[in-house]
Amino acid sequence: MRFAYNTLVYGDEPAGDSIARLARFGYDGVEFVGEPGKFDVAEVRDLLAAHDIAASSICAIFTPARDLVSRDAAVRREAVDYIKWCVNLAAEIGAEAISTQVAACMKIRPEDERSIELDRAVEGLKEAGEAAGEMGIRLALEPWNRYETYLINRIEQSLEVVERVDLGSVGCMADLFHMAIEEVDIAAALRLPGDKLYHVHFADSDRAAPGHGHTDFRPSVEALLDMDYAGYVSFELLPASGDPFLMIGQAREFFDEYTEQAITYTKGIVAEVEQAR
Amino acid sequence: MVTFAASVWIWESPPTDEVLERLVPRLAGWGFDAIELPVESVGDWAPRHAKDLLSASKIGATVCAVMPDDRDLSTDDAAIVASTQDYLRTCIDIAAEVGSSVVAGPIYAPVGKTWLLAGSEREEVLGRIATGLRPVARYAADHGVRVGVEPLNRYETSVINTLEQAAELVDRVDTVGIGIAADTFHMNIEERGVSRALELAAERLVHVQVAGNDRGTPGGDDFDWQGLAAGLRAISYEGVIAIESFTALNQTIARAASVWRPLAKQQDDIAVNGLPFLRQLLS
Repeated sequence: MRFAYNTLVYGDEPAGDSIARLARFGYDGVEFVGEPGKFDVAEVRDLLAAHDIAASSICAIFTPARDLVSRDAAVRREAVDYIKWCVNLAAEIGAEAISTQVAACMKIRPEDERSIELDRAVEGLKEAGEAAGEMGIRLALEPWNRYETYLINRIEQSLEVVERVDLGSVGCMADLFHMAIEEVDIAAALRLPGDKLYHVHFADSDRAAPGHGHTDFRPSVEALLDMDYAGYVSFELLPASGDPFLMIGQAREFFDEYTEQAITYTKGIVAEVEQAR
Repeated sequence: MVTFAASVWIWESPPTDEVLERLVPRLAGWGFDAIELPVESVGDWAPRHAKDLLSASKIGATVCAVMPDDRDLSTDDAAIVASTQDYLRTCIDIAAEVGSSVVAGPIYAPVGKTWLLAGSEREEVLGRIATGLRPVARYAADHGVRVGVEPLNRYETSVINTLEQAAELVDRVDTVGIGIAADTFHMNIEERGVSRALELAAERLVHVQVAGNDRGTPGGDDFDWQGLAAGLRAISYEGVIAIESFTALNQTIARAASVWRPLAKQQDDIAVNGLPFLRQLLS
């Protein structure tokens, strides 16, 4: 199992410090925030090579200006172009997957009928997915919990859209924090997409490092091993505020402490599960 | 011994006399000991009429306070604090009339009011809330009622997310009329350990609301039910266990609780299938 850590929670820290930290704690990959101007691509490539660590994935950021299901065609255009920009970024730094959503984060009011909005999601993901496919990059459609979106809360809802898009480059994503709110059986939901599961986020029930809350990671690890899941398990850990962006970069325990705990604890669970087989 | 209730919100919002006429006998028929009655607006339902319905069906009631934008004890607006205190005293009167020993709810701030509480501001806000709650809690005690402070998850409030934070507020108010109301849906997100949190609340715990981790039917879901049972046993909790869920069919309550899909095949399942599970777990 390959592990990465989402640098989102490090805020404005220089990329070099983030990369060095993740290499030091034995990570295989670095998940980068997909925001134009956030870092220098050439410099990051050099840093990754110097620390012998890969770019795992791009965490795409969906704002009201980047919304695939918006009633406004210009906003939908912006969202598709943004994902394509993330695809290029991924290709440049060697990342494999992009965590993707179809509506703005924290948007909980639909603009149109669900079926109309899902049609727009499929249309946008098709165009962005074709661009991703040409570059060998995968889009992973992530369900968020009910407070962050109204549209795709469960894996089964993500899979429904993915099947309609019907491209090898577009699959599902799973985040255990959101799943602890939305799925009554987390491991069963992980298994649902089968080989269409392209990217996974781990976090404990309270979004802190695994081991901090009360999520039982064993059934999830078993599911991923059974599925021969070949993507990254990336830790997306965030402070306990309603707007996940409110406290980013301020909570120091998410730097060294949780970065080390996340991989150490999870590797321990994987070893336990493998030993029991 | 614990007793079991189900909230009106599983089916309807707001409760009305007509809604209670339909629901009270049904809940009694399914074997519930009580019905949970939210007070969205005073006057939505008549306490005297409810009392008659409850007597006829031989079940009890629990009362919930509801906190929309204009009810707030965390604000420095004295007029809003005063009208919120008036509202809470009315809820206490209603509870006393229908025979509920608690008024539970996030009675400190409006649901959905979230902001970054930096360092000294948290202290200031908690002090203000405690000051606002003290006379309310005394009024409750005088009427044989306890006010239950309910922590909500991070997306619904930034003031009190955990039972530990609720305990801190309760200890500050320091009056017998106040305690903690625990809700398993919020606990699942915010507590590091379910049993540990309940043990910390200890004798302060006056009310418990339950639902599956997705806020659907209790049982057959991902919530740590064994942790709940162990925690309640450890503190010898002897109050009400109320199933609280929300219908996706009523747009107002669905939006207020961020329920975007039906949480059960039919709403009745949440109560009818939840009750035997809870009885077996906790009796």
